Parts: sequence; structure tokens; C-alpha cells
Amino acid sequence: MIRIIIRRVAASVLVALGVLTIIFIVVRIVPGDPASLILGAGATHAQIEQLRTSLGLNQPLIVQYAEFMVNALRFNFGTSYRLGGDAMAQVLQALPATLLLAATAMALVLLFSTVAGVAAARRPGTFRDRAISGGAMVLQSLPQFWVGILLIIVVSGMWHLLPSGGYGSPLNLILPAITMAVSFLGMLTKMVRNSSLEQAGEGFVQTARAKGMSEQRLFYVHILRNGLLPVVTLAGLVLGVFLGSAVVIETVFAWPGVGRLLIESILNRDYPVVEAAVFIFALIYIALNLVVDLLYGLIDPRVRVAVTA
Amino acid sequence: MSEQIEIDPTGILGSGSKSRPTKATIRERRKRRIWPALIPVGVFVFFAIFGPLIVPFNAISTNIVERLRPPGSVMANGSIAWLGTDQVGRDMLGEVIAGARLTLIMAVATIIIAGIIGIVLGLVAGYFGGWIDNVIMRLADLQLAFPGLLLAILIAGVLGPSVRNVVISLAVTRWVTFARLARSSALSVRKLDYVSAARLLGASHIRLLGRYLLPASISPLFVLGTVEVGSVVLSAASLSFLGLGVPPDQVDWGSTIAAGSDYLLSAWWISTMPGIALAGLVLSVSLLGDKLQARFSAARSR
Repeated sequence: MIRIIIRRVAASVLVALGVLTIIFIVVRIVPGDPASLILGAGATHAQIEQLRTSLGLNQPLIVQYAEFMVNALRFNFGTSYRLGGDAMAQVLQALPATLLLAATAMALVLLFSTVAGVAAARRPGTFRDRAISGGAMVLQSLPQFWVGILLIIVVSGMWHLLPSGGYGSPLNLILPAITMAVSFLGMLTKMVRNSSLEQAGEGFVQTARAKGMSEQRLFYVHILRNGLLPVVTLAGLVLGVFLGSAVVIETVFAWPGVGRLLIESILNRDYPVVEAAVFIFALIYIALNLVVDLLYGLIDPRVRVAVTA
Repeated sequence: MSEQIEIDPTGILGSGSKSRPTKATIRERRKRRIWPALIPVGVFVFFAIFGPLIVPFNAISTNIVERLRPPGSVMANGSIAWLGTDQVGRDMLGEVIAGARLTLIMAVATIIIAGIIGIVLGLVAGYFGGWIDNVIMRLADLQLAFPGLLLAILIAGVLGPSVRNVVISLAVTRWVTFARLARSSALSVRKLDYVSAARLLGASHIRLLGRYLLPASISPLFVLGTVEVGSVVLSAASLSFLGLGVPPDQVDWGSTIAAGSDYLLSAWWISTMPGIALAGLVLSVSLLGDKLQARFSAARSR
């Protein structure tokens, strides 16, 4: 087991290095000369040349790359052009708001998708099942940012119940968290339903039923326990995807997290912050994947046996 | 409970016999029909192609006097703005239809480009195996280390807002799904007798890939392409909503929703109307995708 852990951790470190390389290629090479971008259209040739030297842009690309990687591994992405101060510090300062939002949405998704998925799986083919499955599909099709906007129009604008944006009180958290949860609520509900139904056809279920176990106990103890396994895998991924959708949702609700910081930095070409924010998001996502991978072996012994063998 | 679980959900067992079909089989067959799911998608495609001819729309012309009119208002020239007018007085109906065209163009272009890149790389990886396979699939894994839209947002942000750049940034991040499917299909076919026979007869790598491996994988890839349209439409709209999508002189649904978000409490229709169209399109595409998937997996298990 320890060898597996070491191998997975090493693989994750490699992926993190690869992510940094992609960031370097996209941000430092694709857009052209950063110096003229920073200085704007009015800069003289001499000014650009001076900035190029001080930024190290006149060095060979491979040297720039090595320097970027070494600094990035120390979490040093340079100074924010727009806000001043260390770029990574700006990102880390905004991170708790994003994590709070993602965790709340996660709790909502897990709670409601399990309840709805179980309700559908207990009576497959009935009206209840079809209503839940159909609803799940509709939820998956809704554009997230538009759900947020509708919630603002109805809940804040027409009913005056909750604030339309901002940060500080738990009331501010409700609408963005619901918005973030909506589309994955559909996806996970469908998943809980389908994987529970798959388990219901397995041999061990028939054995237990033949031995006279009550349907109630059979479902909650045997079927559901196995049916929730794929949900564990997906739950980790969903939390990661939440980080990606944070950019859109934080923009809709003026939520001061990393997502809004990222989009404002992109629009203002504040690349050190962009690099730091993208790296932090990817790093969290990689770590989540790693944890899910290892947890899965812990929850389901069959996976562990298969990997070791 | 057990008797409620369908043993034969696709109706294959029932439809195999020549005897008169039972009511249940007829119902199953009806469920598997594809054309009803094509109708809603067809409506969107029709409006994207012919809509701008029926309801003309000019993104640049503005009419400040008649801005922010609610749906159903009668305009000064006697026409009715069925969906209202936006913040610069443009007719929302025309705007939504014009948005349908641009949204569909971006989605289809993205799918085609991502599909071609993904299919070529995936087939090559599965066919040759070895280090080529390793390099291509590790590259794919690397892209998946960016959560959700993040890589597309990064690329679109760096390239600047334009229709072409939306397509580039989405295609670059979407090829992975196609590559994985093409690779697994190439892996399952490449050792089959008819491929070996062709190889022994002296067929070149290109010929083997194009004439023997590609046809074997084309129908699942086609289904995947359909399913992906929905999520690409959502991604493109998200980019436009963030200001990284279409430039200001063009409209798609995402940019119209963003423009309306400054008027949520005074003119709700600006953001609501294109959102309904967007959700409707994505829902119709995923209904069609579900049908195609069911049909395809039934055909394969036969």
C-alpha cells in the first residue's frame, strides 16, 4: 500500500510540473511581448527595451523557463501590476472565500442528490422516479451563470429576501452556493440512482433477499453502500470543478474569491496574479484527485486488491 | 421491488422474434425512436440558419428612445417587440435569433476541430502504442488537471475576445474526450483479423488508420460529438458572459446575458430571454444525445 501511495504522489508532482509548463507556454509565449503589453501602446522603444531587460525577457527561452519553474515552486510569481504586492499573497488572501463557497455548495449537492437519488432508486419506473430523473436532466442543462441571474431577479429583486451579491454574512452565501450546486445536483442525483439500480441486480443482493432480509435493510445496508462508491469518486472531482465554475459564479454575485480575482486580472492583463491563481486552482484539483484515488482503495477493498495484484 | 427492474431495457430480446409485437415492445420501440428528439434541435438549427432572414437584426444600430421596453410593447413604427428591447433599444427577438446563429457556429466549429485533433491523436496513440501513446495520453492527462473551464478561460483571456479565439480555446481543451474514445476503439480493433489481413497484404499505416480503424470507431465518436455540443455551447456562453468571448460588435447569448445583468431589477427580460434559449438548446441536445447513446449501445450489444 505504501508503494502505491508513493507512486501516486510522485505522479501528482509530475502533473503539477506539467501544469506549470502549460501556464508558462500560454501566458509567457502565446500573447507576444509582455513588456509592450505592460507598458501599453504609448511606450517608446527604449522603455520597452529597458523593461525587457529588467524582466529577463532578453534571455534565452530555456533560461526564462527554468527561472519561472524555480520561482513558481517557491510560490513566487512576482508582483501584481495592478494591485501591487506579491501575486501569490493576493490569491491566498482570496482563497478562503472561494473554499467557503465551494464547501457549502458541496454539502448542498451531497445532501440533496443522495436524498433525491435514493428516492428515485427505491421506486424505479414510477412517476416519482421519472419526475426526479427528468428534473435532474433539466438541472444539468441550465447555464450556471444564468441560474444565478434568475435567482437574483426573483429572490432579491421581486421578493427582497436575500442580498444579490457581496460578502460577509451567511445570507450572502445562500444564493451563490445554490447556483454552484445546481448543475452538479442533477449529475449526482442521476449517478446515485443509476449506480444503486445497477447494484440491485447483483448476485449478493439476491442472496441476501433469498436469506429473508427485509427490503428496507437490503437497500440501505447493501445496495446503497455499494451504490454510493462511484459518488465518492465523482464528489472529489465535483469539488474541483466547483473551483473552475467559481470564476463565473463569483463574477455574478460579486463574491471576493480567487475566481473573481482571476477574471479581473485576466481582463487587466495582470499576468503574475493570473499565473498564481490558475496554479493554485490546479494544485487543489490535483490534490483532490490524489486523495480520492487513495480513499477509494480504502473504502472499496476490491480496488486495493486489484491494484496490488 | 425486483420485478420492477427492467431486464431488457432496450427491447432487444422482445423484438427478436417474428411473432406479433406485444404492447410492451411497441412502447419500447417508440422510446427508441430518434426523430422525436431531432425536432427541438432542428427548430434551433432552422432559426440559426433562416431566422436572421425572417427577423432582421443589426448589432450596431441602436434606438435609444425605445430602450428597455418590456416584452410585447408596441414600437413607434407600429411593430411589436415580442421579447422587449435591450439597453440600447435593439429588438430582443432579433438579438436572441442572431445569438442562436453565432452560438451554434462556435459550437459546431469547436466540435469539428476538437474532434479531428482528438480522433487523429487518439487513433495514432492506440494504433502505434509505445512511447507515442505515452506522450499523447500524458498530454491529455495534463489538460485534465485544469478544473472545468479554467484552461479555456486562461487561453481565451490571453488571446483576447473574438469568435475565432473562442473556438481555439475550447477546441484545445476539448480534444481529450475524443482522443480517449478513438484510442480505446483503435486498441480494441487493431489486433482483429481483418486489420492483420490488410497489414499482411501490405497496407500502409495511413491506409490502415484511415480505412480500417477510423470506420470502426466513427459511430461512437459521432454520438460523443452530439453529446459534447451541449457542454460546448455552455462553455462558449460562459466565456462570452465573462467578457472573453465574442467582441462587442457581435452578439451571442452569453454576451446578451452579461449585458442584461446590469439591468436585472429594472429590465429582467434582457438576461432571461437568451438564457431560456440557451437552456432549451442544451436540453434538446442532451435529449438527442441520450437517444443516440441508447440506440448505439443497443446496436453494439446485438
